[in-house]
Amino acid sequence: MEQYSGRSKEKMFFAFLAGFLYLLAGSIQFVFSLSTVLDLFPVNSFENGLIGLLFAPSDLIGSLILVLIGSIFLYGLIELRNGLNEGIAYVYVGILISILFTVVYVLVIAGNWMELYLLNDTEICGWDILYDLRPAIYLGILPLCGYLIWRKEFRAMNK
Amino acid sequence: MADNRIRVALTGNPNVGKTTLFNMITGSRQHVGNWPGVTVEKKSGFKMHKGYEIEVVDLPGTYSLTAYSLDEVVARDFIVDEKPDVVVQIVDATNIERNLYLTTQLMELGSKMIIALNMYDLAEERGDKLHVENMEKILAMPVVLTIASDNVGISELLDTVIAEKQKENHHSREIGYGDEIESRIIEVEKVLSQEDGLASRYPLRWLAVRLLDGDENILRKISGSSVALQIKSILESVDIEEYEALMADKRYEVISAMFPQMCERCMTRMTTSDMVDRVMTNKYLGIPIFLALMWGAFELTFSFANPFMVIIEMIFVWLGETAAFYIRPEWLASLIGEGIIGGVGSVFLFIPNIFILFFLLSMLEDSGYLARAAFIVDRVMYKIGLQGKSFIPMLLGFGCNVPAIMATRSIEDRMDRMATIMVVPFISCGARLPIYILFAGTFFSKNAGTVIFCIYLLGILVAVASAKLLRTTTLKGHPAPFILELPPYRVPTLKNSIRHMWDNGSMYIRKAGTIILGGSVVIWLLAALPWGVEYGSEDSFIGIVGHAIQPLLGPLGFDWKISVSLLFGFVAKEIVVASLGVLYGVGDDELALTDSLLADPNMYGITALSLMVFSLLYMPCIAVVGIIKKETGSWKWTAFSVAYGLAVAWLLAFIVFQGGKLLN
Ligand SMILES: Nc1nc2c(ncn2[C@@H]2O[C@H](COP(=O)(O)OP(=O)(O)OP(=O)(O)O)[C@@H](O)[C@H]2O)c(=O)[nH]1
Ligand SMILES: [Mg+2]
Repeated sequence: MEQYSGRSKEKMFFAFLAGFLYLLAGSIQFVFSLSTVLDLFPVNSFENGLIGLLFAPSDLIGSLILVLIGSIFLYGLIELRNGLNEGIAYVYVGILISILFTVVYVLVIAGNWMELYLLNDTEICGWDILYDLRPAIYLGILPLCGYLIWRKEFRAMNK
Repeated sequence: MADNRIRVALTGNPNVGKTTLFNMITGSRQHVGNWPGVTVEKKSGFKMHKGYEIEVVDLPGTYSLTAYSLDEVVARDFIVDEKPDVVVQIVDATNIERNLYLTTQLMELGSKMIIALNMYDLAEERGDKLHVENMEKILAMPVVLTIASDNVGISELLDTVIAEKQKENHHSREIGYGDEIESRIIEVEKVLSQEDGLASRYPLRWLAVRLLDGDENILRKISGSSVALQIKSILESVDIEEYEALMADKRYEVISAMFPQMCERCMTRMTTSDMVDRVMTNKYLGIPIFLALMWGAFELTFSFANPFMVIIEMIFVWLGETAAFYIRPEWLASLIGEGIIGGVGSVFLFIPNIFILFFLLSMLEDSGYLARAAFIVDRVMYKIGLQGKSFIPMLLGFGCNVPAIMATRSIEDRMDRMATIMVVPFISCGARLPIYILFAGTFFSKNAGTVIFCIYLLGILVAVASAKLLRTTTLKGHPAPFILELPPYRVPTLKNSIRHMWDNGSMYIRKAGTIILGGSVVIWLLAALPWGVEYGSEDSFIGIVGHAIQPLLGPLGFDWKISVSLLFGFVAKEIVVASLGVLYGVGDDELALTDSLLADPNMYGITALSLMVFSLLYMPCIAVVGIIKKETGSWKWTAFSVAYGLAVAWLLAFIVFQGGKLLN
């Protein structure tokens, strides 16, 4: 475990950044999704202002997952700040879970794309890759970088 | 030729790789899983090796020979009563110290023993230094290194088995328990030796040790003999509980003296795996993480499978049309087109979902995560008065309820076990998945994954709530505390996941080709007869049956077609979808089942939801009823399980449907 301590500054910054971004994106999407579900806005379309910019269509559970990932990172940050080295485990798990969900959403896109290709009616549905783009996908780039940087430590995890 | 046959028992602590080794030796495919308590029955297989016919028996894992739960009794009785020629103890090389406890007990039995030091790949990776020769010398038995999952060391192990069998004389180590206990052991031994029958069946010293160790099973074994009374009076004169503790202490003492010579650097330390567990089992984050992962699995099961379903659907629609076009006479075309292709096809359609779901579940299981899930849920369940050990059978239930109910044998407490058997049928098995996919996919398109996830969750909730209800009424009692040993995290192997997926998927395909095929033909017949009626109309037999039971299910929003499909679903739950496929006549109007359902004026989202809830809960299929009878040994409980399921299903579906109607 000693090997980690030198790097914990980096990890704290990382946990803060990732935690903040996921929590922010998740909360915005959650509020939006909730208002759609409760019918507060008339239109449920992803072109709507901020939501359109974030590619965050109404997706209650998806937004909760973003919040969850954000909380895992922030929990780790708090533990690290309190001098608990185990906080690093939260960063690892956060990275793994966020990558996992990036993969899930990418596979969903792949599935939709294949389906439409098979049915051959791209025009009818007006499907666009942007339609399926989710915060979990582009936010996933950050944990992916984290994984690549700390690759070696992840391998050590399986021992 | 009796000399050519060797009987070998595989024993060891839970989750050390016994079944993996068994599968490798015999080429069979028993279930392997990364958590303790997977195997609950003994299974045997054969292997020819160097001219010997070796019978290998895989046993449930056990921590000691003092058996508490049913599966441990199976393991202990086999070794003690059936006397295999050679006992192989599989030892987890990463956890030698703990595994040695069983070794010290097995040694006392005096049978020929071999240690298979398994998972040494993991031990080496961790940097442990194993001293095999020292281990052999100290324990006075051969030690073979194996990696069961990679087929390493298997043939050496079999060589050693043969060599050991051929060995003429054999002596095993004994543990000294100190003067006081030793003198008692001698005293008991002397009494036991007066009964001829006992000495020929069991080593007397072992019997004496077990008796002084307070082993009730052994006490029962000798209760019929002439010396039983004498033994009882000796046992009453000593403090058995104190002896039990003293003897266990002695064993641990011996172990801690032996251990450092067997392995250097094998110390227990806070590994990254322990650190990760702090996150996964975190008080606040544990359950959300569990839910999130499960949701991800269902989302993928639904979305990613879609294109493959489209392909299969196209094939079957084409087949149906072709049949309708070319085959004469017309009734034969209808049998093949509507009956067989419609019925079997609508079940085949869901093969991609089944494969994907089981692939994902086996990844979660293999990685060691599902055992953590059991741990997290245990905490919640214990708080509400249930035993968390019930959760492992429930997890197995996602595949099929039958093995899940068998797995309850690992639950020691009888009340707990009965309660668990009663609630396992609420766990959604693979056969129910097609119903959800069909209806959620048709009526909730974009949110289908989430709807299916919620249905699974509802199953778990109803199971837990029912168990609570049972435990506070008929099956009163306190839950036994549950100690779950968390298996290590591992990177799931593609090989294992694919095999697991294939095992479950091929079972589904086999069923489609047999029961479902037969069921579809029967339903077609009922729909086409009596001769001359319009196919599938209200005047056909099936229409008559459907109308007879429809009033019961009408309040849930079901028409006669759905009612009758549910009725036949008792045989196997896939039949619900198959018979809808037959009744909605897929081949006939060239529409896929989804389109026919959407076109049906009686079907709404709320009906679909009510139907999903009802199918989830209503009644275990016939195979499950059979296993419930077998495991509980009581018709009363079996009948209760069916009646209770129907009542709960009806009530919840009623609430969903009527409530939904009110809201609309
Ligand atoms: N790395 C590694 N993994 C192994 C080895 N042997 C078994 N495993 C894994 O260990 C886990 C447990 O294997 P099982 O064969 O089910 O264990 P078991 O002893 O039969 O368990 P119970 O039936 O519950 O008592 C599985 O995930 C296997 O894939 C090995 O030699 N090396
Ligand atoms: Mg096993």
